[in-house]
Amino acid sequence: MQTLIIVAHPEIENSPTQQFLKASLPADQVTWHELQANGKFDRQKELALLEQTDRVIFQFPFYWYSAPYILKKWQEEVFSGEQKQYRYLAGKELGLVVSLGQSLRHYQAGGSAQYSMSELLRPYQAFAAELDWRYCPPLLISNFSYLDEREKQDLLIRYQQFLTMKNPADFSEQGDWLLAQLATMGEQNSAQNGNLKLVSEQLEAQLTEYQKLTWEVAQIKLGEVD
Amino acid sequence: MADDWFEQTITELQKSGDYREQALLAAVLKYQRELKQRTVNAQGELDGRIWNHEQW
Repeated sequence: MQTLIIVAHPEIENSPTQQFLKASLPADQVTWHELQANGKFDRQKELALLEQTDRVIFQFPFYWYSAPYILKKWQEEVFSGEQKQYRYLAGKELGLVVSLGQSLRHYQAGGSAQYSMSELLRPYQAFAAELDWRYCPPLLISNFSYLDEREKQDLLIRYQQFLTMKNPADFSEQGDWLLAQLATMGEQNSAQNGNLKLVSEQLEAQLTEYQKLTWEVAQIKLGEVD
Repeated sequence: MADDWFEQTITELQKSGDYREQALLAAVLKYQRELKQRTVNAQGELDGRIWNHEQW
């Protein structure tokens, strides 16, 4: 699966959040594409990038309840024709990675922002629907600078999953994703490969046992009458 | 005992890993703890449904 990350930020180099996310990128299957504000976008080039990808990410800070203008400029210049011109792009996924300067609790009815993020991000959901793309639940990053090390490491993994894991993924599929990452880590780290293999084997055995139990419960439920 | 081994091994691996590897190992440990709890829950549900006399 290929993922295109469209980064819309006026100062990417000076943004700790964007630099952290950039340093967290998986080794392959992702393209980091920074939008630059010099001149018009090359429509054909941008559409070619989109055509080659399965999942499109709009990544931006939330300014005045919206993305920085560069993302709207990109949308208007790349999608300047009628909707039917883009049918060949149907079936993709759209995911948003949005950084917020406030806690998420402000974004709800009764909170200081009054509206939920689902409501405020609705134009992107409509954009995805118009193109027949599947809109994924967004990855919201609030108060990045207040995160401790453990929370940052958790964000690193959630970001990688957002970019490369099946979405939505159930609990077992999350385990399969972790096992694949452990295998890659083992290939790159020969000194620790032995212990990594043992860890993977134990995790896999426990996951198989869990899957067997949930399958058995599901079979019994099928046979039960109300 | 096996779980102690799992956690200890992850902790040892984290000491020699880089930042990204440490993050992955922390996620694996967190996942494995939830997996153990879910397995206990699933086993309990299975036992409960097997012994549900109303379905005999």
